[in-house]
Amino acid sequence: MEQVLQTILLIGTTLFSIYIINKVRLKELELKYTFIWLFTCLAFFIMALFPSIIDFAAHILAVKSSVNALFLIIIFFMLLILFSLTASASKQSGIIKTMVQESGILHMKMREFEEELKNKKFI
Amino acid sequence: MDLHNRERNMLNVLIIIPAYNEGKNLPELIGIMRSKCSGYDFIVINDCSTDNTAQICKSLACRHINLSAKLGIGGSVQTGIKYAFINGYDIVIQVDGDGQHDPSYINLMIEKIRNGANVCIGSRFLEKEGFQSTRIRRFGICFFSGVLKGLTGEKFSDPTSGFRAWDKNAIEYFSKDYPKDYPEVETIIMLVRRGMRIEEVPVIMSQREHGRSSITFIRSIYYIFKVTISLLILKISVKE
Repeated sequence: MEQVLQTILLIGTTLFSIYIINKVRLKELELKYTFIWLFTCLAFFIMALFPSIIDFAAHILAVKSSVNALFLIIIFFMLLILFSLTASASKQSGIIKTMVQESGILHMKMREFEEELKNKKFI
Repeated sequence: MDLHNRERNMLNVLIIIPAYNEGKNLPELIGIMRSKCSGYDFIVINDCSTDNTAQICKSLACRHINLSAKLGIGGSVQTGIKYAFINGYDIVIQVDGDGQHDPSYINLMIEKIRNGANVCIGSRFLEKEGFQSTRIRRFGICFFSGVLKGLTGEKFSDPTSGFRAWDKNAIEYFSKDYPKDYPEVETIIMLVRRGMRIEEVPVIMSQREHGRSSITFIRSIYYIFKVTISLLILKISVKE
């Protein structure tokens, strides 16, 4: 791996990890959803530190250039992150559905209760 | 009061009317409901309509639930089922808000449930009368009938019909788990897997008078694709 790319990866993953941790600290991101990003950063940090891992991966995957193997690994991590987002969106959608349904039923009951009170002249 | 009417009144029946932008169809439907189904409760589930559905319900003084976000047909119907479950209803009947379902058949459906069926589906193809749907939908219906026959061994002539009645067991089950979009066909396989008895009654459906159906050509293709995959996954999933 080129030294420039190695340096960019080392600095990039370190800064990005600090950024994520800061977001968690400020309660702008939920810790459990940042694990996959932190794990990705750590993986790339290690790969930048020990480029022979990428050379080995290129050999295993029968990819001619190590840089191409690196891109392949990046795509793999991106797909992993996308999948985790899909799973999270599905879960949230179920929760939102239940909340909308229950708030609809509650609103109706509240409206009817208010009308009942109005008819009895309590309001 | 004769015995039939006394028994009829003893059953706690809720008619749910899912409605999305049905402001023009609702007044007539509610009028028919009040004249033909006076012994039963009914509730409109307004699926975050952008027209005046909510105001129409209010002005007609009919019980209605306004959903704060659009949940689609599955989410709307399940809201009604949840309401029925919470309030201890014995039978729930779904009548679409577009006026295609004739409430005169409701008594026939209740009769089927009283005779032991868990679910009763109003089928427009048993006697092939009235509006028989568009060509693409008829193809879809035929296709799903075949898929269901293959997966369950049972024949359903109108698996996409939304004109349905559910008994207490089905109400309890669906209050917890109900498909979100295009639920009709999926629910059949869910019920069969739980060993519930499904029966069909012949009904005549009419064409909607106002507004557009949500199922366009492209959505029909997606409908067939999505529901087929769902059915296959349901078939191989573990029984509860």
